[in-house]
Amino acid sequence: MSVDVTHASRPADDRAGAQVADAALGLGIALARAGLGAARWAGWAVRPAAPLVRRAVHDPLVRRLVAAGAESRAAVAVALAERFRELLPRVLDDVLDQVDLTTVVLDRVDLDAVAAGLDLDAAAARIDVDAILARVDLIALAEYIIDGVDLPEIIRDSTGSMASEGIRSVRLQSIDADERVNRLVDRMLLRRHGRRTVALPEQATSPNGHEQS
Amino acid sequence: MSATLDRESGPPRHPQKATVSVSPVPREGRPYQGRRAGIVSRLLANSVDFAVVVLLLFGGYAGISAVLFLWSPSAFDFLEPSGALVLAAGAVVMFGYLAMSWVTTGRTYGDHLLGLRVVSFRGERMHLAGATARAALYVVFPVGVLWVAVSRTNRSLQDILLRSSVIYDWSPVQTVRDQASTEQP
Repeated sequence: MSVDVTHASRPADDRAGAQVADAALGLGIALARAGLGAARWAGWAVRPAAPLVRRAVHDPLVRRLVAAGAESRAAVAVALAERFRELLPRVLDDVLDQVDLTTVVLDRVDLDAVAAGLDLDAAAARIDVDAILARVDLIALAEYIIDGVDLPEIIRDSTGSMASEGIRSVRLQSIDADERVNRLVDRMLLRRHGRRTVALPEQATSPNGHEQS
Repeated sequence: MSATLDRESGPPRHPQKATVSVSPVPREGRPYQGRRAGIVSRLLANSVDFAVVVLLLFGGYAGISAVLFLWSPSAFDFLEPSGALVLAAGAVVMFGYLAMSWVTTGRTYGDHLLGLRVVSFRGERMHLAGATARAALYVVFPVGVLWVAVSRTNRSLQDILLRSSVIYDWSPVQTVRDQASTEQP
């Protein structure tokens, strides 16, 4: 974040306003300095009366006044603190609304250094892996992986023979021939709908042929 | 082949035991499993079974001839059975072969080669009575299998009478259960 204080590009009115404000600020500073000097001078002036004041403190009336003053001061301090606590969140909200905190963090914070200082092992040790696993359907995951790598095909490749490959080919070709004949006969008999050949629906509709129990 | 995930050995939060069974059926054959087979597959299987029966008859003939030869080598002469006798012997052998195959494994050797299995209307292996009745019907009227080509549900006449089905089932062991459709042809 940066505040542009150059006046070169501002209109003349803005420049005049800024000059008035600067003059007022200068006047305020001069008055404050004068006030401080006067207070310092007044303190030096009343210093001879200090013993009188110290003696007056022991007077009951003065004590009550001092106590009342202290009590009022404490009450004012408490009220101010409460007011401050009420106002602080609003002020912070307003400030944060004006600031893109993400950009500020990215610009101003060395995230690599922060990350390097993190003890990730300690954080990982606090992760409840059991709870995470309890939310995972391990069986479905295993089936997905087995289906993805086609484990039965790998086993067949590693242990199979030419005979089993030939049998598979014959079976597939016979199924294909079955379907061709079915379609031909159905067409000859002018059937609109196909055949109902599903005898075991669960087996036939299973996408991967897996069973789960 | 089956891969088992025993989750009891895992974290205590997974007390249930689950099993993943991997199908031995190749991926391209899976969509057809459980469907009733068509006429081509069944005729091919029947052809193989017929060849098996012929081989059994020849084997029986050779065995009887061998026994007769050993019994009396000098008087041995090859038997010349009549056609009716051969037909009767063939019918008996086929009946026994089909019935025993269907009641034990649910498939003959021809069914095994073509990946077929005979199941009851419940989708289970046939009982002895059903298997013998089916075998008898096939021996008496083998042409009934041709009805598969016409049937809307790929059933032979024997299947219609006994509510049985011949399905594609490439699994080496029977995995079918009680999901058989009870639909009628």
